Amino acid sequence: MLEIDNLHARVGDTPILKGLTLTLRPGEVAAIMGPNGSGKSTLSYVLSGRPGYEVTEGTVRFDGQDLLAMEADERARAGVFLAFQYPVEVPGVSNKVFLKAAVNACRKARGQGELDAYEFLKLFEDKRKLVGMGKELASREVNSGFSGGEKKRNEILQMAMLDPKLAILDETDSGLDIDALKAVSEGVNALRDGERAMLVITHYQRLLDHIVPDTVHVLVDGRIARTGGRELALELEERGYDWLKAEAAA
Amino acid sequence: MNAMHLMAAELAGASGRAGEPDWLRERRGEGRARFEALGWPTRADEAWRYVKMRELVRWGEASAPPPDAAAVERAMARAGTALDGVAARVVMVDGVVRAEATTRDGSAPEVSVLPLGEALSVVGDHLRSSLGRIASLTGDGVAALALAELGDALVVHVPRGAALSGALEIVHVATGGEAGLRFPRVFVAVDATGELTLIERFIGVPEEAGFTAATTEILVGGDATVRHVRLVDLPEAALHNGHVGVRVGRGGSFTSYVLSLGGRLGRTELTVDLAEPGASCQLDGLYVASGDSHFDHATTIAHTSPHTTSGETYKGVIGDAATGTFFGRVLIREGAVKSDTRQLNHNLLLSTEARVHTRPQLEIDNDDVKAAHGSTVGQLDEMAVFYLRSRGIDERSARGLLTWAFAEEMVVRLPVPALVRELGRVLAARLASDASPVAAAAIEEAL
Repeated sequence: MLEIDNLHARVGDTPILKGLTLTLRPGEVAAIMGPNGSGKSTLSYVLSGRPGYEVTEGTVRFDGQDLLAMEADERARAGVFLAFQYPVEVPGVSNKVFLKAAVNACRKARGQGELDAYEFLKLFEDKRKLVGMGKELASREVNSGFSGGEKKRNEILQMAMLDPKLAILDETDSGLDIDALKAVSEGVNALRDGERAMLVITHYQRLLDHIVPDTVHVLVDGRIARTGGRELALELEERGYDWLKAEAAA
Repeated sequence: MNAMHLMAAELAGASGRAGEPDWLRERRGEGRARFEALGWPTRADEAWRYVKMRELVRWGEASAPPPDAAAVERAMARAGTALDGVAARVVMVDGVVRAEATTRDGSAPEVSVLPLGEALSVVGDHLRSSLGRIASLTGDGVAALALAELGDALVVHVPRGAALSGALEIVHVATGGEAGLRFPRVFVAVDATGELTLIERFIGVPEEAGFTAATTEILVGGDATVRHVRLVDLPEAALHNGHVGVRVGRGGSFTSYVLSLGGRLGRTELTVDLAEPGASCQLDGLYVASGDSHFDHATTIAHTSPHTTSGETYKGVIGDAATGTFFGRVLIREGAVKSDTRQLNHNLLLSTEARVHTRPQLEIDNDDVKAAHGSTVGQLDEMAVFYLRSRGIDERSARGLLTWAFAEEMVVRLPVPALVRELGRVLAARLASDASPVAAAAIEEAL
């Protein structure tokens, strides 16, 4: 599904990813943990194609395609979804208008028929309930004036609507209280179907109590420093990241 | 001005039209005298600072010759049909009312919508006291010239308490031509507690140039309500200068919607006198300039009485090598205590060559007022563009959708729903471009 090989990337003149190698099977949920500045968010932006993130070396194959050769919107239509750490406010555009344009762009590219107004609303209502958002969501402007929790739920709603093959969740737990964390996690878990792969990027292991990963990778200084199972996350919770930083430096 | 011009001008000013009252002939003479005194504006005039005057003065100082029958026919073919929600419609070609194209429903027969010649006997008092004195004799040289060259005009009178069942639409079609100016003129008097929604649409014949200097004068009576939509969507070579002069009486309410969408040069100069206590106005504007167009807006709101309220929001979307200008003055006179004004101008630049000049200006002569103003110039939020693209929306559509989102609020507040839909589609096509059906569909959805 996803094969990242020796990925180097920089932002401006600053190298951030320094030889990252990682594979992900269909249906696999992998956590990416790591200290601040280790390159977690950069990885999510490089994979989703944000302009300004320059790949200097290495390859990324997604479903057999060269992901790095694709534009950001092509990647989305091919099935890559990024749940943003800081979802962007888009005043003047309603959720309904935004999502209908997005869903139909993706469906068209995948050879599915475009949804008409009725079909769209039905899908929207289903997914809205999944993440526990209010009925007025459709007419609200995208993320405008949303609370932190509402923004993150809106990301998961979009993910549910767009039905990606690969979902990258960038610090989805940041800024959430425990109730919002539960609601978001339940939404994510409902989208685990044995086919969809997920990269769950997080600083804290707390999220992994709710979204239980198959694999845990630890990112230190732009490289995967260690890979393990669920227990690795718990060990990090105990010991912090410093011992891995020391190992990586050595 | 050379001697030939002067002679021609004196002749036009003095001769008048058969059967018209002396005061009207004299009024033209006042316009001529004022033009002689002021001359063409120069770039030293703040409101004309960014206009290339050479492009204007080459058109001369007199009216263009009347269009021939074929030109009138081409113009009439552009006039289209009435929108839903329009109760009465008048077509003017180069400022001359085309009676054969006037349509009107049966509502409020006491409301008169007449060419100047017929209106003199019906609303002579209003005309005599105010024609030319709200806009032309208080404006600049171009406004004065328009009065000096006064020919036909459309006169609208809404008597006390009256209202049409819907909007009055005036379609001004310019035939073009290579020399001389066209001076369309509309005079509106809405008496106490009357109500009027007026749509003025300035269009032209494709591929034609021409220079139109239009004047609209509006008297808003006590507790009367007037909404004025002024839509300029001329062919790309055409030049347009508009003066709108408004006087608002006690408790009266005036709302203006200025839309500059097409033409080589489009200027609108709007002056509102909040002349009596409790008068209010809201001035809204949207300019969408592309190519090498220059759209220029100069507004003056004069709070001359106590307890007067004004609001103003202009938004500009400037692309390519186009220029947008907003110069907005709010004057609060010494006696105008408890006045309240709020003025905003926001601009979105879509290219590195696009230019905008924005200058909100407050001149306050007393302490007991509330006043706020501000302006911004910005570009599309690149993070928002990426956000939309990360959901599968192509870049062009993402930019179109975000540009529409910026302009939208100015379109949806237009007072006639059919006009909101029409302009939404026009802007969808221009902002999102033909290559972006996704954005076009999304805009359609939003309307």
